[in-house]
Amino acid sequence: MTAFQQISVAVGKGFVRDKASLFFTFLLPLFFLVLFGILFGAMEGSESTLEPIQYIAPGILSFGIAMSAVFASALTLVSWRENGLLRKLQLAPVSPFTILTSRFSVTVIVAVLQAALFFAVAFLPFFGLRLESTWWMAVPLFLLGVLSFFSLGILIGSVFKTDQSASAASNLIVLPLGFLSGTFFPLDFAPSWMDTVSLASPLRHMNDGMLALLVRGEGPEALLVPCGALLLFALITTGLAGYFLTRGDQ
Amino acid sequence: MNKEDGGVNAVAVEALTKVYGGKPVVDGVSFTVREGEFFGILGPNGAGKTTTLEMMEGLRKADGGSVSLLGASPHPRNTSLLPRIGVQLQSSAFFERLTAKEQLVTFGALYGVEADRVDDVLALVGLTEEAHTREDKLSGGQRQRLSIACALVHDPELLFLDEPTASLDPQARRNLWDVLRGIKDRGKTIVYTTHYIEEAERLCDRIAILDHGQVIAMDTPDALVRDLDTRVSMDLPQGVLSLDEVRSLPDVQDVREEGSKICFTATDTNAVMHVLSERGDAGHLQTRTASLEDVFLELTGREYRS
Repeated sequence: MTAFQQISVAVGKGFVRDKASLFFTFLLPLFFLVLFGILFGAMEGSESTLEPIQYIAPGILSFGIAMSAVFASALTLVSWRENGLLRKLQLAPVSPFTILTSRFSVTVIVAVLQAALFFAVAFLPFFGLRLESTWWMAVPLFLLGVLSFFSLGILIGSVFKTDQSASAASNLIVLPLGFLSGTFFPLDFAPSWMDTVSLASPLRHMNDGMLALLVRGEGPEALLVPCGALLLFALITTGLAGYFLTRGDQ
Repeated sequence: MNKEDGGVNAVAVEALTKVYGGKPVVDGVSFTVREGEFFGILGPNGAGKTTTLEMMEGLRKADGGSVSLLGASPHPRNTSLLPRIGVQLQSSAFFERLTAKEQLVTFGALYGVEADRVDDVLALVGLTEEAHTREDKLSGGQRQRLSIACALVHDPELLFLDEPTASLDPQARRNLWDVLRGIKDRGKTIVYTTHYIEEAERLCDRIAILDHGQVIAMDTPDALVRDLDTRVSMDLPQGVLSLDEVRSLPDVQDVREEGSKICFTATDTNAVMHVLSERGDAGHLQTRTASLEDVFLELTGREYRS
């Protein structure tokens, strides 16, 4: 196997054997789905033009993926630095690009599995989610979203050097992003400054695009702005992470 | 590659210096290691051993001086040199939750090594039985041996080991010595750090003693001890000779009672032996010859603080 494949396999095995994070990764989005399903179900007849489940499902999925992608990549980097693996990788004839992309490939596979499980449950009659026929066009947006969260996690892991500080930072960043980005309540109800601030959040753009494609039935042109914003976010965070990682080298 | 003492140098370190916060941690260290040599860097904690090793491995940039490994500079990162060196770090540096064999397969893949070499390396470090044990379930000694195996999986010519035997119990340490000798027998050049004096004495072809970032002595273990003009410690059980009789022996100093023994030092062991054997008491004499520890004490004027 190539270095790329073998690192992916190694990280994948490590993930599957960590029962606690498996549980957290796959059940957290479902927990939010149930919680908000019940909560918004009680608000039937609000001004929203969509059924509550149609509105909340894409946002909760994006949030769940953001949580696990940011945590996984931040904590991978921190633990690799702590146990010396990062230095061992630096001493092997393998490029940082190969290491990052193979770690990213595991994050993508996990995110796809998270989405599959999430939709399988949301399609149940109790929740009654229905997707528009344009749903598949959201795939590139989905991947760019995962990339943004992955690079955000790498940035956090490059700045914070311990398990505790990196997971605290991940929480402190991703939770507000959830509120800021229309995951838990429509931004229509939010003050306008919040709407403006949320434009800097990758979760906001992922939500916008997912809502447009999955449940509003809009065309691919609705993806241009969200995809561009996510790509820009990924580039900036990766650049910053690269700066912090090489700066701490000596 | 430069030739010296008839052998080819695998490592040449010249005036290597590293300064942290205005304080030199490594201060003008120079030495060479020949191909196939087992070279020990011995020193107390904080002597600059790890920093020296990390500059040699290319992980740290030197503030001054140069390093040449197999004729090439390790810094900046040199991907054609990397497959020729193997590094074991002080931390175990494993992929989380993988078995011993999976670790080796993964590290092997980083170097493009076929997976079938892995069994050979597992056998070399005596971990064949633990091939399918996860890293977090291995004992301390087994983890160290796996860590060395990970550094060996791509069959490097030059191996760096940073305190491989630290924090191991005596049984596991001796076990690891056999592994290290086995690696040397395969013709590898080994550079290793330790703070165990007697271990360096047993394993190394040559030793550099490092203290406060400087090489204070460098030679074979035997020569280091031989060159030391040190007094030999001796003791006799109480009752064989009186204190005054001991004091009258040729060139005897530091005569004192310690529990059931009378201890003293002398420069000429034979003269003392001669007097004692005339009295028929030679069988009671115990001598302790100089060790590297004495060398260290002599050179630094203080006890070795490991």
